[in-house]
Amino acid sequence: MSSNGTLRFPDSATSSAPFVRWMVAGVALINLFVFGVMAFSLYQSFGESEERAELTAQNLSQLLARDIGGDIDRIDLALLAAADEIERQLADGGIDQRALNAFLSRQQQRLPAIFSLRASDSNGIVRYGFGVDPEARVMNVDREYFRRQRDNPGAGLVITKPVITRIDKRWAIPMSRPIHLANGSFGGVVYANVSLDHLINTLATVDAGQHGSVSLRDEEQTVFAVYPAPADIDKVIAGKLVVPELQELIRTGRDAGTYVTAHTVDGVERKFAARRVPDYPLYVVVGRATQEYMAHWHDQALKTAMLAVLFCLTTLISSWLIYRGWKRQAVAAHELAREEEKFHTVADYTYDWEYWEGPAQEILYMSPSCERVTGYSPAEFLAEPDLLSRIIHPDDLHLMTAHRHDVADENEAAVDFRIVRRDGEIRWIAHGCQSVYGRDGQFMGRRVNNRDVTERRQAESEVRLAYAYNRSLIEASLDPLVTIGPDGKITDVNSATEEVTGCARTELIGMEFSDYFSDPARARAGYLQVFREGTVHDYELEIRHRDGHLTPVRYNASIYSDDAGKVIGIFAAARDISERKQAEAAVQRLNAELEQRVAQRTAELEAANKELEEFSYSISHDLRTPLRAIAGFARIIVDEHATSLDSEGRRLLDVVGTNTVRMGQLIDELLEFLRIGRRQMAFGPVDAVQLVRELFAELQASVPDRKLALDVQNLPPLWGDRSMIRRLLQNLLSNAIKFTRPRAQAVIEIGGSRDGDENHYFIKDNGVGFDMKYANKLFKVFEHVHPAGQFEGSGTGLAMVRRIVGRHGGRVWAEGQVDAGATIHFTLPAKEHHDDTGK
Amino acid sequence: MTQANDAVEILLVEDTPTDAELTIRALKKHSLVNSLVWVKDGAEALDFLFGAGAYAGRNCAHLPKVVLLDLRLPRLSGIEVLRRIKNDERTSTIPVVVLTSSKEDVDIEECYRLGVNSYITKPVSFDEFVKVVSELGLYWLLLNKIPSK
Repeated sequence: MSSNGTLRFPDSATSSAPFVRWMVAGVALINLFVFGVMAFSLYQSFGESEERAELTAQNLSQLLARDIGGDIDRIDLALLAAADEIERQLADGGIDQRALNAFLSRQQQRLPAIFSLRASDSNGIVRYGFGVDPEARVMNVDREYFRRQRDNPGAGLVITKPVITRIDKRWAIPMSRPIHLANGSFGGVVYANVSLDHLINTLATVDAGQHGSVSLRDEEQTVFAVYPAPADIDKVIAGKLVVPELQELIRTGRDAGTYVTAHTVDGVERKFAARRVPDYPLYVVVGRATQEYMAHWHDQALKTAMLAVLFCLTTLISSWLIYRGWKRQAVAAHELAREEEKFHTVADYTYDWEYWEGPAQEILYMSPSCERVTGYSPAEFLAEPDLLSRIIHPDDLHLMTAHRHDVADENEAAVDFRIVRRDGEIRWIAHGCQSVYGRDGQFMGRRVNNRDVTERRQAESEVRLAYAYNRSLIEASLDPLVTIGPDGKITDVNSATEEVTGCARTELIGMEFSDYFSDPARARAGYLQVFREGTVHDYELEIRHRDGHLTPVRYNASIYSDDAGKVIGIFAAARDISERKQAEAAVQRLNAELEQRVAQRTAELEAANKELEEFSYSISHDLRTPLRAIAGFARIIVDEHATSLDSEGRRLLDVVGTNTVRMGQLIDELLEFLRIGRRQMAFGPVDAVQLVRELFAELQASVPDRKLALDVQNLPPLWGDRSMIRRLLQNLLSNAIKFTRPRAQAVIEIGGSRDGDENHYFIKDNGVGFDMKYANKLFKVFEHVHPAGQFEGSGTGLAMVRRIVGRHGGRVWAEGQVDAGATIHFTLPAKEHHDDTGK
Repeated sequence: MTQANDAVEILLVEDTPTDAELTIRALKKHSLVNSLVWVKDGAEALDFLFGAGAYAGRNCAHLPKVVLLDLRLPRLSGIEVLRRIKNDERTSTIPVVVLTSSKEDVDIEECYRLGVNSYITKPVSFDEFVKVVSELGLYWLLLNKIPSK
């Protein structure tokens, strides 16, 4: 195949051009020659025809001239005889009218050419002759012949132009002789009227053809007679029809001549032969129509022309047939060349090693590609028939032997074997061959295709290895693995699946997947979900073993696709969750127990809370009442019984009053503390900076004589129960104010920052501080780290702070140093990490 | 005590005798105890107001000018007494001042919900106690006007 992908062969049209040129030239030449010969022959016969016609006309005119000359001779003899008789009778004394008439009559009857023989006297009166009435005094003195005879005594025979006779009233050519008297003077004229009809009849004896023309004329070309007689014969006869050619003939005094001319009367072209009647001034003119005498030649020419055309056609057809034959042959030869080229292209440019082995296993054709595959050239294979079997790997020779049997049986077969190349390399060959038969069904050996499949074999072997590896992984899995086709049928399983179902894989493959579960509908829904969504995770099912026991499993499955992305199935892995199920059951049981216990505890707690509530209620009410009584009545004693008391007694009663009030405060603070622990919390954002400023302003107002400085830094957003936070900040601020009392200028610093999931806040003062070894006592109820009486307070402030921070889920701690200020730190969860349940 | 039952100005409902005595002493300092009736529990308070039980036959048309009501009472609680007073047409206009030791929010809220006119916590300090009681006596007996029958 050529580079642009189309087959190209030499164009047959260019090669046929010289042949066609030569053939056309040859045919033209032959035709030209044949036409030339024919034309020459026709030309010859044309001349001959002309010559023959001329000759015939001449002969006819000669014949006619003699006939007419003879007739005239005889008439002249009769005229001479009649003249002699008259002259004799005159000389004898006069004319015997009757006898002369009889004589003349006899003479007349002997001559059929004439219809009257008469004589006139010197005066021109017709006196004698048959049928002549002398008394009628018919005059012929005005007749030309009479004048000429009278005026010219030696005129002899005078033949004059035709006239209509006076006696018979018919056309006649008068012939006359003079009658001489004894004294030699003119004595009249004897004349004979030649019948025009007779003359025409004489002319008619000549066969001048249908369109021929015969005429008799005098020297002046006066028409005496003409045949065929024209219809207007009276106009023609005695008229002059001058033909120049004839005039020339007469003028030159020739006796005969020929010419061609169109007849003056009918216009028909004729060949004329003119001849003078011997001894008389008359001319016979025989004309033959050209069309007639040439008819034969025309006929011949027509036939010849037809023959020529026929010949021409024959040669054309023949040459066309020859050309066609040649063309077919050329095309066939061209096709053959193409076929051969095609064969070579197909056979020689194969990638695979191909050959044709004859019936006797001889190599008939070997493709050049054998060299690429084996390292040996085609010539080497052709030269050494054993080479083929010699290069087959010794271990694979038996394959070839078996293969030959297969081919003999099956007509076509394939086998893979190895060969040893010339360079010693071992290659795998995929060998396929089939028997070939000729058109007549004759066995023609085998057509063989050998393909080097070494790389493919290697790849296949790698694939097999990979498959085996994958298979072993699948089989080694303790989880039951299965693949499912789109129809829900099992396509593959591993041994764990066999174990869990109790069925052999041969039984499982091809069966409906969902049939092996306690809940087939759920199983089906599961794989349909995989096909729909691509995967499922932890899909729980129970596999039913053949013996009926169930294994709870959790399926993880996903679809898998071919190279084109088309889903071909599901890969599903089950995990035995029996133990987990048992554990879950145990957990559930424990949970149930726990819940029951919780419920019980809750009830107990609620009861305790209730008790506590009642307790605190009674504290707030019942504990204060006796205090009030003690304080009240002690005061009443002081007020109303002062006289019966000394100063020491009054002081002691004051102590009672002061301590009862103090106890009332303690009770209040304790209740407050308890209330903080119980209260429902309402979380929300708290503007800590604003709150701090408000509280500080309030507290500052209660100690107007103090110099206080507050430094509030930027605080992280605070999230909590507003009233509790208020209490928290209030306690911390009042503590700070309280413990900075010895300072001329109190400085309170509040700050904070974000610290991971929580916000960190601190409040620092420049107060009296504390010893860090008592740090853990700071936040306990009623604990004091300062000597009693130095700073007022119940000791619940920081305990309440810890309670509030604790309920918010934060932490609180303190840093300090004696006489160097204290810092209380606390943290609160940031909003997004807040647990709003409120502990 | 019963001879002036018809024209009582202050009804003191208090079970604790010491508190009652302190209260009366406080009022007495300002001469506000001329027509004060002291009952010891809630049921007795209602009997007095509606002329029942020991007070049967009392002219109930004479309403006290103020009821000083402790919450923690035997038999019927102060809250219940308050509810009865405020829910009855005959007594709903009587100003009721709760005078109690309780500072519990729930008590304060409940009393106000029921229509208490004032809620006073008894201070432990006698000076303050006297001051508070005398002030409320002056206010409710002298300053406050109630609808006349």
